[in-house]
Amino acid sequence: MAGKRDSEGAPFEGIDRLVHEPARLAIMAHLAVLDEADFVYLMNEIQLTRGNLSSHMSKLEGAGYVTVEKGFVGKTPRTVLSLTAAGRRALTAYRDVMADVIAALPA
Amino acid sequence: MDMVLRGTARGAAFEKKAWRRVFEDGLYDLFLAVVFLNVAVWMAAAELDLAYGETAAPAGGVLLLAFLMFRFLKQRVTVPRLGHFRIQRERTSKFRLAGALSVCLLVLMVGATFLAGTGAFETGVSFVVVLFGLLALKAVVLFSFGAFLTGVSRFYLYGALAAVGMTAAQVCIAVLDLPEGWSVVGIFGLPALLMIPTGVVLLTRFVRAYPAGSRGGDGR
Repeated sequence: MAGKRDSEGAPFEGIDRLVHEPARLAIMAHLAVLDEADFVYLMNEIQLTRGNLSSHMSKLEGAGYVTVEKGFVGKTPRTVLSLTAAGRRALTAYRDVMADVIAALPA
Repeated sequence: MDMVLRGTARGAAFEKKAWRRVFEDGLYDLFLAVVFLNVAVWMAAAELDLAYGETAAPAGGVLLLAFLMFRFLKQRVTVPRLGHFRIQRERTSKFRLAGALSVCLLVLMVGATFLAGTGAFETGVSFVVVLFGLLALKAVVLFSFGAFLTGVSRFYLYGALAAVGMTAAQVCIAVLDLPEGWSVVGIFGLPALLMIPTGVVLLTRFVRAYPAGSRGGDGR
């Protein structure tokens, strides 16, 4: 999707709607500087409920933007997320498209 | 494209936020305080005529105990409350390099100090003063480097206190005619005196901010 331009104006069509949603964008931005983070860390950082984060996590995982590994530490379940190469590319492309959009917006 | 996001310039705010989380619980402050106090006490004991060899085992034991305690508290107190995360390896490489250089420099300085003690250098006491000065400078540079990269401003203060400790020790040595080894007590002791209350306050604040089980569990 990134790179497609509206022939008349700003490149709105190039916006990746999956990344554009604020909660998912926050998840991807946090994961971009980390090798991995677990569910609890992201809940704390982004201030999402368990259900909300779970829903966004599934969407990002479905798009191949994050990997989700479920395991146990002792008897405690731990879900660990990390950004995939495709996720990094999507985030970079999103930033570039948004820079164009913002530059094209009327003052 | 991938490299753009991997570069340290991109996402610097998020990176600093992650670093602040690393040090938010105060456990690093407390661990570092034990290490610094250990060095200060070890050197003070040596200046009070206890042989280095006699005090090395208890000092090593304290360090090992402090490290095990630190790991235990991180696993049992921090991770269940804050969650687990690992900062990107590329973003921690500068710390690893600085740490390795620091250890090499410290080994060289300790070696040179012992040689100076055996009279291998004619310059004698002044040589030791220069070495201790370098030790204080190293502490200032390392703490400042850490503060700059992580955005944790209290590290600047720790570095400054190492320099103040060195200066104060030099004044005491001159006035009270003490041996030069007391410089090390100043360099390590003074920052440790601030690290302890800072660590305790941060840990208390952390435990209050993230009550046990408040955000526990994961997505399943």
